[in-house]
Formats: sequence, structure tokens, C-alpha cells
Amino acid sequence: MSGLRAFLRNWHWTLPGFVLLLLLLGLPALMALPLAFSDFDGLHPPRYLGLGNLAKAWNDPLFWTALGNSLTVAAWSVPLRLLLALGLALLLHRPRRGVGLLRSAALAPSLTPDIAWALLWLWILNPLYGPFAWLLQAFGIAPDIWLTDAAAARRVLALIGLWLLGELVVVLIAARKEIPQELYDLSTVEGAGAWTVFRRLTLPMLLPVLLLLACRDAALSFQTSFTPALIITKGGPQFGTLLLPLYVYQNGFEYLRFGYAAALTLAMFAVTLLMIAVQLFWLRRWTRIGA
Amino acid sequence: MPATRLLPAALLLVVALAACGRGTPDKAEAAKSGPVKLQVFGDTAELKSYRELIAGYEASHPGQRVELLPVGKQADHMAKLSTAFAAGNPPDLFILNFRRFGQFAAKDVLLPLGPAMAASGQFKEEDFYAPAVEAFRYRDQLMCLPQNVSSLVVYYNRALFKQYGVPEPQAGWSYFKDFIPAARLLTRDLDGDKRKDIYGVGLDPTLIRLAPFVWGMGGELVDDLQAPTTLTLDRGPALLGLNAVKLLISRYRVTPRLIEYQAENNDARFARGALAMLFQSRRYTATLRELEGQGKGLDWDVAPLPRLQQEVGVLHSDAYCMARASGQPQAAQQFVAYALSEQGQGILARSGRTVPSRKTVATSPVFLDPAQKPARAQVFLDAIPALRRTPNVAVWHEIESKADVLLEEWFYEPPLPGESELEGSDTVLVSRQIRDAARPLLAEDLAREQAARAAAPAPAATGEAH
Repeated sequence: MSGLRAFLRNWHWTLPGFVLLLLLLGLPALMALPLAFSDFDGLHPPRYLGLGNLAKAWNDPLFWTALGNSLTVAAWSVPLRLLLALGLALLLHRPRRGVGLLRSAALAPSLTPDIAWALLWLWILNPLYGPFAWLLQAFGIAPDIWLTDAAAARRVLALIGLWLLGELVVVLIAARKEIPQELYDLSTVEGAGAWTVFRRLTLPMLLPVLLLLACRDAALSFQTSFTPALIITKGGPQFGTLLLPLYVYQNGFEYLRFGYAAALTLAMFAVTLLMIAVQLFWLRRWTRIGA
Repeated sequence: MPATRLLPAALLLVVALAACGRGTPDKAEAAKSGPVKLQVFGDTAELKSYRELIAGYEASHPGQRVELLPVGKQADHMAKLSTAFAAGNPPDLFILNFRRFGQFAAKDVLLPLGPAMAASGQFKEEDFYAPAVEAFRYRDQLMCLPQNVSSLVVYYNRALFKQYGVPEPQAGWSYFKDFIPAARLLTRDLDGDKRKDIYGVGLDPTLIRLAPFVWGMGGELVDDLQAPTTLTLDRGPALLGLNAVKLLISRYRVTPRLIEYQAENNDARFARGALAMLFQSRRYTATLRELEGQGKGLDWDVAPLPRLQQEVGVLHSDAYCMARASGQPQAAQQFVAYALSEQGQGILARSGRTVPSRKTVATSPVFLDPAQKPARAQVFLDAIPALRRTPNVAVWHEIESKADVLLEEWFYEPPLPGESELEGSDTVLVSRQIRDAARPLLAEDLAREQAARAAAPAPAATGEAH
């Protein structure tokens, strides 16, 4: 009981968020788990299937297509987003004139409803009438079929995801400010150049935060790509942007295969865990080598 | 706040949120005496006509109330509907397209409206067009009652036909002798930049749009309409039908290329006068009339589908369906009776969106209003006897979704290396891909049907054929 009291005393500010998280995410996730092992159409009580849904996913070519697409988009978007966020954080962490406005601009896309920016991108990327096409034409480049070629469309989804880096920038600015100024002063006295300071001081100090953000971003990338895949590319062309969340949505809400959709979600969860584990492994190894 | 007080507060929050999930018995009872809930999909013009329909019903039935649950797109309508069913709180009534109603009918969550309303004298099958009625029959029961009986027709821009001296389409016009030459004459590069400014034809390369071409050449979509086990697009006549469509882009180049199609859909292209002919159903009429109201109208009319080897059309029909779980079936049926009456059907027909399923309304000036476009509205009625439909299986929507992706790729991709567009190897390939994608779904559906029939009690010997 004293442990609970201590927890409540130290962590009570997190309780509202924790309770909501538990109710809105934890509980539904827990309830969806048994559905993954059942035949459930949402209209009748679930019927136990054992591993039937997982076996079906194993033999479902579209599942593998969707998984491959999701991993490709994540492989493009996560490192690029982290890199860009790190660059912006290092540019914007110092107080100077107009920096507040720039920080707000970096955060704004993350605060915009997904559907709003997805529709905006739909217009921007219109291959004939969108501003992106005009821009390319101005440089003599023919408006390519970025939404009609599968590989190009996946890259477009990854690039669109780059805009959602506001939270990363905020966290990295805070982390950068935590690095003692004395260390930078010492580096200057020692005659270290900007690149050396970044490589030997800033990056190692930010590494734990970067590690955390990379894991979070890998998990999030599976979710944030849902709206653009649904609105902008609609899973096409040729299933090229059929991402796992979209395939889950289609199976659950369009084809009434909630059981199968739950199994796919379980698979997505497992893949996310695996991605995070791989990242942790490599980053820890890298940290050890660096140390 | 002291930390120890937070725990009961949090528990209270949990209980309060949990209580939101299900209504109390009192609330459930109250809901039963509330308005009948009707969920529909459509654009603003369509939703406006539904509101008029409800207003008309409430005015003529004092004390009765209907609450409209509008959804913009059909896909969202289906998602909302399935979620409502899963939550145990479906709307009393909802609109379903015949290509999607199978997935609900197969799950036995629909109250068969046909028998229920026929028994109370509120519905007589013979008053309605047979193709629409038959489309909503499932396991020998009329599950939903058809609101409309639309079909695919050719919308054409009369001004462009006149401008380029092309004769307007006539009944019985031929696909190869009349339609394609007209499309070629109407496809124009106006400014000499080697890009087409006007295209002759707009056709979405989807299974439902291509079906009449397959049937028109004597082919079939499936091996058995009642209990399909495989798609048959890969068989001779069906392939000829698909190839006939592919010629539009691969040989004659009279339809927008993929990049143009992605940039602007065919409906929008036709509406701005850059497409001479468009394959669309009746619902597009409402859009064109709305544009006229905004002063952006075209000089347009409709024509029957051009004839291949056989005269054939494809059914487009929606119906009122009722949830078996409805708490107020009588009130809901009363509304459906009104909606399908001459008065109710007349209100929707005036919007331009529907071809009324009730014969007396369809043949009345309400639908054939000579003062309203299209001037040749009779085309929709003339098409009815030759209408064909897709199977009523639970997985049909899923099959179409998968087939449409493959068909789009096939339609816009150039022929395979080393072959001319006439050889059609890519058509064989795509039809086999579609067949293979559909086969496990149809097998699953057939197994479920057989299990359902085995589990059902033996029917009384009525001598009725399937």
C-alpha cells in the first residue's frame, strides 16, 4: 500500500493521462486481442478459430504486400524525419528574433487534423493542376506520375510524413537546452570545430532522447500513414500504398472481417515491437562503440 | 488535491465512462419511442431531397418522426453502418446498394421487408420494376425494397456534337460503327500542343462499368449468378468485351490517360465541357442539374449504351433495408411505405437523382418532365428490360474492390512488350488475376451458404423454384 501511496505522490500528475490511455487504448487493445483468434463479423458473437486468422494472414499475399509497403514507408520516413527534426532543433534552440514563430511553424502541421492536411496534399500533388506540378514544369521537368507509380507513391507518402515532425522538434529543443553550456565553452577553448562539437558532444548527449524518439516514431509511422494512404493514394496504384493500417480498416469496416482485422493488428503490433527491438539493438551497439 | 483522493475520482471516471457504452433500460425504452432513424449517403443535393421526403412524411403522418443520419460517401456509410451493427445500435432503416446488401443479408441481420410489408398490404411487387426487386432477393426472400432502378447510360455534351458536326447518338447505335467513330471525331487538340483538350469518352475502368461490355459480347462475369464459384472474365466472349473497352485507350486514345484521370476524374472533366461522352448512372443527373442552378450548365443529354453483339445494361439500384434489431419495426415500415408511395417517390424523383422503382412514378411527368434535362429521360426506362446484375453474394463488394485495382492497372498500362494492343495478352492476364483473387472468397461464401442452408429448418413444400 505504501508503494501505491509513493507512486501516487510522485506520479499523480500523470494519472489523468494514464487513466485515459488505459481506457481509450489499453482496454480496447486488450479486448481486441481475443478477437484475433476468432471469426467475428461484428454482427454475430465471435466464434473461436484458434490460429486460423494468423494462418490466413500468412497465406494472404495482400497482407505481405501491405506489410512490405508499411516497412518501406517507415524505412524512408523515420530516419528522414528524425534527421530533419534534429537539424531544425539545432537551428531553433537558441532564443533569437522570430524563433518563436519558426518553432510554431514547425509544430503547426502536427496540430492540424490529419484529414485537413491530407486533402491539402491531394491538391498540392495533383499531377496536372497542383502547385508541385507547376513548380517542376517551371524547371523544365515533366510532371511525373508520382501518384500513379507504386514505388513513387510510397516515397510520396514518406515525404508527406516528414511534415509531422513538430513534436520531435519540441522534444529535441528541450533536450538540447539541457546540455550544459560549460561543455560547449570547454570545446571552444580546446579548439574543437563545429562538426567535432556536434559529433563528440551534441550527438552523444542527445542520443538517449533520439533513441526514444526513434522508437516512438517507428511505432507511430504505422499509424500516421493511414490517413494519407486512405485519402491521397487510396491504397493504389496497384496496391502500392496499401499499408497495414489501411488493410486492417478495409477488412474490418468494409468487409466485416473484424476477427481477421484484429489478427492483422496483432501482426502489426508484433512487427512494431520487432522494429523497435532492432533499433534498440543497433543504437545501443553504436553507443557502446562510440563510447 | 491530495493524491489519495485521486484514486476514487479516477474510479468514478472509469465507471462514468463505462456507463456511456450502453444505455440504461430506461434510456433504451425511451429510444424505442423516439424517431425512426434513417441512415443514407449522398451529396448535398441528394440529402436535401431526403430531408424533403422526411418533411413530407412527418406532415402527412402527425406524431411520427424520422431522424436522418446523413453520410457523404458510400464507403463511409458502410463503415458507419457496420460499426453501428457491431455496437448493437444499428439505425432502424438504411439505404443499401444491391452490390453491397449481400454482406448484411448473409449475416441475417436484415428484417425481410418484402414479406412483412406485403402481408400488411403496404407493398405490392407488381407495382415495381422486376430487375430492381429481384436484385434484393436473398435466399428466396425479398430483404430490402428498391428505391430506384437506375442503369448505366451515356451522358453526352450536345454542344460538342453540334460544334464538330457529329450526329447525336440514337437508339440502337453500334459500339464499333457509331460510338468509336464519334469518340474519335470528338477527341481534339485545340491549341496544337499535342495534348488532347477534349476527349471523346470517359469510362471508369471498374468491374461494374465494364460488366455491360462483357455481357454485350456474350460473356459472363460469373459461372452461376445464384451460386457463383468463379469469375469467368477469362473466357472467350468476356475477353472480347474487355478488349473492346481497352481499344479506347490503347488504339484510339479517345479517353484520358492515367495522369489526366488522376488529375481530374471523368465526372469533373465532363462537367467542365472537356469530355464529349461519359458512362454514368442516373445519380450524375442531380450533379449536372445543380451546376445548371449555379449557372455552369452544359447542353447535355443521355443516350443508351452503344450496342455490341447484344443489347444489355447494368443495374444500379439502392433499396430501403431494415435492421432486424429495430425497436420500432411498425413505424419504420410505415415510413418505407410512404417513401415508396407515388408521393414519396415523386419527391426523390424531382431531385433528378433517382429513376423511380415504382412504375407509375417512373412513367409520369414527375420523372419524364420535358422541361427538365435530360430531354431523353425515357432512355433510362427503355434500358430496364435488358438490365442485368451482379451476384448477391456477401463477398461481392470485396471482389469488386480487388478487381478494380487490377482493372485500373490493366486499362492504363501499355500492352506487354512485343505485342500489339489487339493481341490482348494483358487482358487474359488480368482476367486470370481477378479470377484467382476472387476464387477463395467465393469458396468461402459458398461454404457459408451451404452451412446456413444445412442449419436452417426444412422449408415447407411450396414448390417454388430458386
